[in-house]
Amino acid sequence: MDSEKEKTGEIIRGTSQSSSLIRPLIQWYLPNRGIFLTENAASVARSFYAKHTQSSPKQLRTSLHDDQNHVTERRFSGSIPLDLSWEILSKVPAKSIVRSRSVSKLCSSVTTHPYFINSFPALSSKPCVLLVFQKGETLFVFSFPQHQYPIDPYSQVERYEVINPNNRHFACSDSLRGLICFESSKQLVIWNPTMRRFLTLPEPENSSLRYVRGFLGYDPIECQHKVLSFLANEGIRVLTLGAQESWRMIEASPLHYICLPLLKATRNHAIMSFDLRFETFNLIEFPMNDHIRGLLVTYEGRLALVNSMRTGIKIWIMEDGENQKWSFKHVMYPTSVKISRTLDLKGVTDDGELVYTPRSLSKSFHVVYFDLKRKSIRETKFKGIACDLFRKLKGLGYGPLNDLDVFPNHIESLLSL
Amino acid sequence: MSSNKIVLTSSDGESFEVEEVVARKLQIVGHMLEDDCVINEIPLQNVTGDILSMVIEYCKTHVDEEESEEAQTKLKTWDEEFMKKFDIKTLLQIILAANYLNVKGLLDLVSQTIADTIKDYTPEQIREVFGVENDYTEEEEAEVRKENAWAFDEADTPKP
Repeated sequence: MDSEKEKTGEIIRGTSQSSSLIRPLIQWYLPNRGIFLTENAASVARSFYAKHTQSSPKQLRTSLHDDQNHVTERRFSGSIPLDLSWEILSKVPAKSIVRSRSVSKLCSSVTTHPYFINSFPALSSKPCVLLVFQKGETLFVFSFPQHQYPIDPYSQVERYEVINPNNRHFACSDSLRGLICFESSKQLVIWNPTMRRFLTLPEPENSSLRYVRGFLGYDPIECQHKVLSFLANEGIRVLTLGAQESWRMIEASPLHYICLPLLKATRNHAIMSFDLRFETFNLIEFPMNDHIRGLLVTYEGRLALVNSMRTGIKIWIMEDGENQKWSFKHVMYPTSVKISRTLDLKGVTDDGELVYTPRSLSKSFHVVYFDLKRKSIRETKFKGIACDLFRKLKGLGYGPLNDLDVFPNHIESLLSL
Repeated sequence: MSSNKIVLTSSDGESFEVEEVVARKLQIVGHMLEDDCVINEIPLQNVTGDILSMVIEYCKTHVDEEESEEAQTKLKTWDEEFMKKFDIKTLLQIILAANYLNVKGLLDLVSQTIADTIKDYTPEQIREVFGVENDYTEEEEAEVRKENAWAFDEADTPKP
């Protein structure tokens, strides 16, 4: 066991590639729901080690070549070998990739290959803040660059509309490796904002119950998303996206019976983790006894609970998952700054900055970032992105637009759903 | 380190005398030197003189990669200016050379530059620049375009 642990530690420290891949593991938290989905980091690290020390991306690329024997003898283009084309293609935005599928059959088969699709966001996508609201059947989508000091922030703002035939629904996940889960009274819908596609998940069979509570998670080892759905008294079901499968019942662990009634009966907070790989639940003790409204986030790769106040924040960070040890910090905002009441904490960037956005969209939009370590605040403003002309054209009226869903750390995904 | 000189010769017979530390930035040369340390003239069959001179210019500039933020910013600016000199055809020759000579930094830089250049290209432009043969029938191509119609829309980037 000890040697296993050592090995795990070595992997995480040893290569930056593995730690960057391991980081997303801990991102299946479910804000405002008292439930946190995480993956058993040690087992993930072990599988990662087993898988990736044996096959490098180059070898995997070779396996792509093998898959496509009929084309590998040829070059992707007149002059550039396939692996260089891959190198280039993995650095262009998703929209350009999709357009390039019309270039040739080979170009299409390279960019629709599962390995390309799975490795794509890690290589090319810069995280953005996605802002979404729905009017009628139309979903309005804005994306804002999230990285520091964009040279021309406006050049990277994108806006589009898409018809969403589903009823009014509520986001029930963060953006997880480019996908977002919505729930309505009856259905769960997975949305890929990059590819502008929706997938309505099958309704559980024999279910007379209307309310479905859904959770989305991503397993970076198997490179697959999984969805959990909760139906009162009907147990918990899981579904793997893209696997052409229907809902599978999860064997009810005693924990589930202890935990769920607790949530319901006393309204106490409880954190439940779900190991996406092995499909098992675990209970995480709350760091404090008092009732505090907080947001569960991933802070520097660890589970954290943040309570945001007018003058500063309180943050509890899970330092030791095995022994469930939390650390606590109370950090004040710089004295010159007050985070106004109209701002909501929406998440944490990979660089450890807390992301705040306004509750409603006026003509302009702004994103405020609070760096906990440097105790500094930066703000990116996007003036006039929902200007009068736009509102008039789209019939949006001139008042503030409410019911916004905001997703920080959104990256592009080529998954076609 | 001694300033041992190495002569690199291109496929078209052009010779470049460079310091060993610079030559070692070309990993293909580095490996040859490790195998037999008395070499001082290396023929490089797959790269022409004009392209090799660009690669050498890159390697000379990147020979002492300092960690300091200031030095990194300076190098980044140099990289950007350096890449501006080339058209897409030359960039494609440089990426082939960087791949053959195994210069990791240059490979990353050029592939990013090519990606930034071609991201707004139409499929026709991509075919032309990369010399790709269109193996779709007219109907097939129309079908693929229809499936991905959104990707052909002009990006809507609201301005203040």
